[in-house]
Amino acid sequence: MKTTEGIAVSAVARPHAPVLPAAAPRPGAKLWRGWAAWPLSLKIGTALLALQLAVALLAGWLYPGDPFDLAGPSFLPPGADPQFPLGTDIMGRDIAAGLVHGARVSLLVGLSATVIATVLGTTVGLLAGYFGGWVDHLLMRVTELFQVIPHFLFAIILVAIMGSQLPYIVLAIGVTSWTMVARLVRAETLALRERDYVKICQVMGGGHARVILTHILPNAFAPVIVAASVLTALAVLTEAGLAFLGMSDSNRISWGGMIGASREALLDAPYMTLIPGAAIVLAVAALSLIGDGLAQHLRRGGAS
Amino acid sequence: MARTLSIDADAAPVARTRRRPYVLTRVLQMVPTLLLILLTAFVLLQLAPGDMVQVLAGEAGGGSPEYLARLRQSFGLDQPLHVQFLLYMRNVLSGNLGFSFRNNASVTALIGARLGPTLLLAAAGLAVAVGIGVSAGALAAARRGRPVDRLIGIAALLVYATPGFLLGIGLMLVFAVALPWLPVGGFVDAYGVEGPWAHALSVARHLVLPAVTLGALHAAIYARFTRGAMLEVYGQDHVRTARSKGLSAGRIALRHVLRNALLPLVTVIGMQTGALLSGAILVETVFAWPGLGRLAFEAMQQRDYNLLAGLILCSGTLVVLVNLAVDLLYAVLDPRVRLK
Amino acid sequence: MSTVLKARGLAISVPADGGRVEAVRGLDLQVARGETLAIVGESGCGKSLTALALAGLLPEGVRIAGGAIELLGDEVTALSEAAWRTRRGRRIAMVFQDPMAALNPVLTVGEQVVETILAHRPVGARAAREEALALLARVKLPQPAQCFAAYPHQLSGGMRQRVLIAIAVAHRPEVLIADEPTTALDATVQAEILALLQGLQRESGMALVIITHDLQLVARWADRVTVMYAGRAVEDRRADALLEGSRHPYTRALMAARPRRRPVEGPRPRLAEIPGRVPPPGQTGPGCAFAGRCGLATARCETSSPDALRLAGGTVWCHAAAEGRLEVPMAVAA
Repeated sequence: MKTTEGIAVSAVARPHAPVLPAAAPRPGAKLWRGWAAWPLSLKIGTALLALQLAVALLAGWLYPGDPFDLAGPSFLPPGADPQFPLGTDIMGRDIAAGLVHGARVSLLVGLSATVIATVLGTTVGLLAGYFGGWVDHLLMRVTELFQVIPHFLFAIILVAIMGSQLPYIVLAIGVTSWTMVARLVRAETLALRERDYVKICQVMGGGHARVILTHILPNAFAPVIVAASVLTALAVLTEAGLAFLGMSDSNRISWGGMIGASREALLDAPYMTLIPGAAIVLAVAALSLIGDGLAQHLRRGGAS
Repeated sequence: MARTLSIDADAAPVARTRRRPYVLTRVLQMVPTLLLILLTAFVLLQLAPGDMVQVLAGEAGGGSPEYLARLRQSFGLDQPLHVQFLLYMRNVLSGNLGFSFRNNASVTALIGARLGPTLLLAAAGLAVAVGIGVSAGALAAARRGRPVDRLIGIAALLVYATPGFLLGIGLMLVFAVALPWLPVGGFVDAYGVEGPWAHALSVARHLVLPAVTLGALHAAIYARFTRGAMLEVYGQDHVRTARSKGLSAGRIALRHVLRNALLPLVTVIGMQTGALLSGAILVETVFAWPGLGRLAFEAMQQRDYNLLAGLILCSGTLVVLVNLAVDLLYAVLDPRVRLK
Repeated sequence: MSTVLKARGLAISVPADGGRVEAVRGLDLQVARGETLAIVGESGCGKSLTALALAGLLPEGVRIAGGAIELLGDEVTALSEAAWRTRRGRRIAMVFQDPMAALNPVLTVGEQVVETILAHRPVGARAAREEALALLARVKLPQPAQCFAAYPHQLSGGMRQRVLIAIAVAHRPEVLIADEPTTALDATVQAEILALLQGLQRESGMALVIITHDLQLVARWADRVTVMYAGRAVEDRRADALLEGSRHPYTRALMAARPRRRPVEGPRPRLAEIPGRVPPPGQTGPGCAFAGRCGLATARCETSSPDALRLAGGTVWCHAAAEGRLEVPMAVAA
């Protein structure tokens, strides 16, 4: 009988057999666990954004009343009058009030437009990636269409047609910025479609909807969140641009609108432009940092 | 032992360029997209409030119902939609993009007059973006983790977060007002410009601030991208081979890292073309640059839907053409695509 | 026999989970002029990291954490990158596993070979080109001129590997390290590449270090073998001595685990497996790394690391061998 020297050829594991690798954590689980472990950019970005969200939410308490009111003397520089810490603009409107209420508009538009764009883009991407064939082809042509027409121009014409009320602005921005998400989700779906657990689910008779919703979507989600923060930053910039050009809701004050309204006074009173400008930069920077931080954090081993 | 040849049948290298069929494929792929752009412009025109004929009639001082009916007929407005679309397509293909009543000129003429300055601005902006962006990104990658890298990262973030119009206004304030080095706006000096050289110089002076403003945002994007691409290439096997040959760090950086990292950058530049044109709208408005962007702003203010639709057509087509050029360029640069 | 490359007590640490962990520990090896040393082990045993460390090519974040490396009599453990550059390509060269990834896809083969030549000898473009063509012929590439003008993706895997070998031997280095040089190639090509390497070795007398997991390759081409397990050397012997009778339970298990032919009569032998798994770096206890899967393990094996035991043809690190608990070595059936 042949023996192999020194080794028991059997399946009996020794008591000191190495531990099997731990099961991978559920996507999303690691995000909430220690936020001390977040990368620096994520922490700073979230802090800045939280600050601005807080200001936006508390706008009604901080500065009750209409920010469009002519509250004081015009051309008041910041710091001259404690009642108007940030001064007043050409018409005598309180800049601080405008800033605070403008936060509402910018963040609201930014976030809502992103939700629309994300939903649209995810749907298109999932369908195109999962079904392939002519569905993919058709959807990709549509995506390409929305990609080649410059987004800002497209948004301008949509707002010109629909009107410049806030919901239409949100819609216009959302409808013109979904292509990034669509491409991303499609790529993820194509990769995930080939994974074994998806094929098993299909073999076992899971309907398409079930497979997509329970297996593909949760795993494609991580990069979508990162893309969403980038989209929100872009949406805020787009809204500011539209407002600057005069296409904003005339009942709502907006940072971009404040800048646009202060153009004539640029040389004499640049603070009217720079203060709302700084607010925009802060908001977009915060969102960008969040996007970067999330990407870094998820790469390190959060979701799959 | 019998020796077997290790050469595969297809291994004999044949340098045969397959560029022509590739070009043809890409050009054919353009057609459905262009058609869709046409359709989009048409749909937008249909959605736009107001009947063209009423506008026409209004300008002409009102008219009898028969006159309006005749107008409708000549514009094909009484036909079913798909016929209207075909008429529209025929018009566009023969160069007729409609008429801009507010400006009292054909849309084609208006766009034609303003196309040049925008192309100039876009090219200059792109040059700024690539020049500054790639250099900054390569520097950041080479000095990874050190203060220069962080500084570039912060600068890129701040530039990215600043809306184009704000940056333009800021630069104008500093370089045209506080330090009167450059003109505040416009295309060329109105007076005192004699001869082609002086003219060109004047345009160039006026081009500086708008181009820098337009390019800055994209510079931030390209810097970030170049840094990432270079860091990724640094980790690839062929760089390890280059190191094992004993090559100098500089040679490796340029010949084996940057060169390979620039390939995907070309694609990114193509993808950003639309954004470049979009940015031109705000930049041209701020600097009173007489291009398509400014035209879009005016069209928007006047609710001139004909003009806006024409601009969508034009810019969409421009982007498609640039994408085609980029794809071809990529095929030239990457031997794996060029030689199958 | 002069030793050209030597490592004593080499330790390599890698970042893991917020700290560092040793992927290679206390490794001794050496290779002499004209000799072929094979470093054998399963994936994850640290052999590739060892190879990279020997050429100073450890990736970012991976460092030599202890021990010493000597190349041609010079201590190179903590050498600066500038000093390494004068040695790499000239005294010591490497050939890697995946020939497609190892070549720059946007440069022609010729450009990459010429670049290698000019890196250490500025002979001028024309001379470099001639030399490059001669090199390509030396590695037995058919139609060298056409290969010269080709891009890597236009060549077959075997041809690419020959190009890499040409690049490696351009300056006739004293040491050539080949990390799994044939793993990515077809079986028919493998033997040719190895024959080529040996031919070049005989021509120039260079030392050849082959990293591999393939015992048959070892049997055929190696003069000496170092077997690695979980970052440590477990056996270091002359190849013939090792194959006649290994003195380490792991090596024996490896050799026994090779698929065998069905005998003329009787049942087909079961594919012998080694139960358990290789412990990841940092999870080996204080004792012998193999203790958890070894049929001869005792309490001592779990707590204390075996010392080097000299015996016929080399060294082995095993308590059971030292205590004489290993049966008389049996020849392994091919």
